[in-house]
Amino acid sequence: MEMEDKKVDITKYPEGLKALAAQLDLPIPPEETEKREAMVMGLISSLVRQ
Amino acid sequence: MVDFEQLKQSMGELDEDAVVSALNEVMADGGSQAAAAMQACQEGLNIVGDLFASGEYFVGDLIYAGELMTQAVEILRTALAGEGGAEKGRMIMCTVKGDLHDIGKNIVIAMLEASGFEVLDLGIDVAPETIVETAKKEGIHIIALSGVLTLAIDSMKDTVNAFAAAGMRDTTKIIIGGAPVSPEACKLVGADAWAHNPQDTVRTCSDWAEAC
Amino acid sequence: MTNQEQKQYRTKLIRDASMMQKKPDRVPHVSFFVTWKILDAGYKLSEAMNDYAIMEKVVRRHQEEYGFDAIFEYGGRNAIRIPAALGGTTYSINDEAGTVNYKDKAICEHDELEELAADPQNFFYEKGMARKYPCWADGTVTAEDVQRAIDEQSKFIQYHINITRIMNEEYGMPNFTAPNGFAYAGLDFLFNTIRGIKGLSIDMRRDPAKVEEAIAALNELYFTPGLNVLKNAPEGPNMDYCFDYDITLLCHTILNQKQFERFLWPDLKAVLDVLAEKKKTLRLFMEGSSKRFWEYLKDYPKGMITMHPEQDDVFDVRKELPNCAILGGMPVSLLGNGTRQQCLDRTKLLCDELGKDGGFILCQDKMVSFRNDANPENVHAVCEFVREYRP
Repeated sequence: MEMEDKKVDITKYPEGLKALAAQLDLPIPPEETEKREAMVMGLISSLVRQ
Repeated sequence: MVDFEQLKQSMGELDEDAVVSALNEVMADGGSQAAAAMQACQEGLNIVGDLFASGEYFVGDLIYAGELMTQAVEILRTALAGEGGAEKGRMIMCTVKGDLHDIGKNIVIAMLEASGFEVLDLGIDVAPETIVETAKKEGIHIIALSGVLTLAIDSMKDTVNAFAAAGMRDTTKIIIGGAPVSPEACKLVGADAWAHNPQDTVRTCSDWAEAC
Repeated sequence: MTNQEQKQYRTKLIRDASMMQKKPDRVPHVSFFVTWKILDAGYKLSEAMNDYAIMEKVVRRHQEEYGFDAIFEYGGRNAIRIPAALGGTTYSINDEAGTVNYKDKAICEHDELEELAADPQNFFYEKGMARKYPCWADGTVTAEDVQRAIDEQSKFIQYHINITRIMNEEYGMPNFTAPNGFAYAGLDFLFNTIRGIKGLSIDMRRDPAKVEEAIAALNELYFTPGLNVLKNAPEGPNMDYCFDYDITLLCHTILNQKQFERFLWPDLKAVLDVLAEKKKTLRLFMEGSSKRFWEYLKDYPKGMITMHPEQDDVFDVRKELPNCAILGGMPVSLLGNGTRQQCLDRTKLLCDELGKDGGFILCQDKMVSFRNDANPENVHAVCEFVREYRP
């Protein structure tokens, strides 16, 4: 799946992770990129472990 | 010339490379010794069973042994087709209704087949009526029920009751196995025997087959 | 007693029993009831597991009915709404039978172990997700779908914060495990999710070195950070909680001794050694039978480990591991199929034989999941008895 005009496949790593971390509504300020990516990766790890 | 005693030991030691190499050699020679090779593998599986009983091997090793045996059958398949039958006869095994676990069941089936049974594997989450109908249709009198969840005990009881309702209880031997099984559970379920390890299952079913 | 005092009293009961330094006021009683409590409350599994407001009612009612000293699970064992946001079908709920079954699917093939070890996050993100979620595999997943999953995760976390506060403030319930108190060893990860039981059994024989590499890679992300937090924690138990640490082990159920020593013991020992050094306590639940590994636990300080055995006899635990407290002892088979008197006799025996000098916490021997796992009358009887009895 591609996002907007940047044509990023969100199922690809790491570009998909970065794109999701940038776009999603998260309880972390936009400038804290590393923390946002960690949160999304945390979700992925949790989803894979379900 | 394959050393079948060595093949038996290799199977017992779960030495995949040695087992596969020996079996490939048997087939390269034309496959005329396939039955002897299968016999050696089955005897090797008995060694596995002994090592499990002694505590040196554990469940992971039994699973691996099952895989190795499956490989062995696959390699020898074309040469074995039509060779002999299951001298102990046929039996049914399955995981009972509501339970999806199959690893234990598959380990036990591998060992039952190695010991000479033809096992009709009905799979997982099997309803009592399916087991009864299959036993009736196939003329099978030995049934092994497996389960891991506590609810399996209820399903096992339902299965025994289903055999009784069908008028088949007196002509059927039923063994139950799996984590929740115990002497008390066996009594509650109304089964003829219970087991926590594959060897006990093989031994009990073999005794029943002999008595038939 | 106020609820705050009740909470302190119960925390102290469990601490006194587990730390084995003094006899507690009475034998504490912990609930290991999971989905059973949903059915007992008259709800369908799918209702409660999909609606946190209903799950809250279930948990409240469970405590109102039975009055435990601690409840291990507040409805979060199977967070089905999160994977459901991506169309995940790992869990299969049968409301008619009152069962939840988990579809075991390995996300990594044997010949991918090296790839996993090289970059676990990459592997989970691309291949792991694709194998668990069809929408990820076929590329139809949208950012909105992922947003929904994140939102569900937030709701799940919020539910837990709320229910914990409710149980603390309105019911005087203690908190079971201190923050950062969980360890997830690489081998358990391989066993539970990544390779599964069959896959790992084959891997350990066929490619043990690759298993070790995979464990090391997984530990770097999921085990070592937690261990480092523990190493930097202040010394001594956190007496606001019943236990400082909690480990649930499943992978040992397939290991022979050599495999245990090679693939699991190094990680388990690392945690246990730090806990000993820090004078902290641990609840250790080992699924199935763990008896063949007890020798590894014998030399740890008295009261550090509280063993929660599943299939093993608690009296054997006491004999072989006198340094360990015991959590457990009440067979689900008895709660479900026994008479009221049999349950009471068992409870008294446990309290007298194992609890007379402390070191014992009554609990069920396995997660109580299915309707017939326990007869409510038996549960009531046991709860009332253990609240009053002084061994």
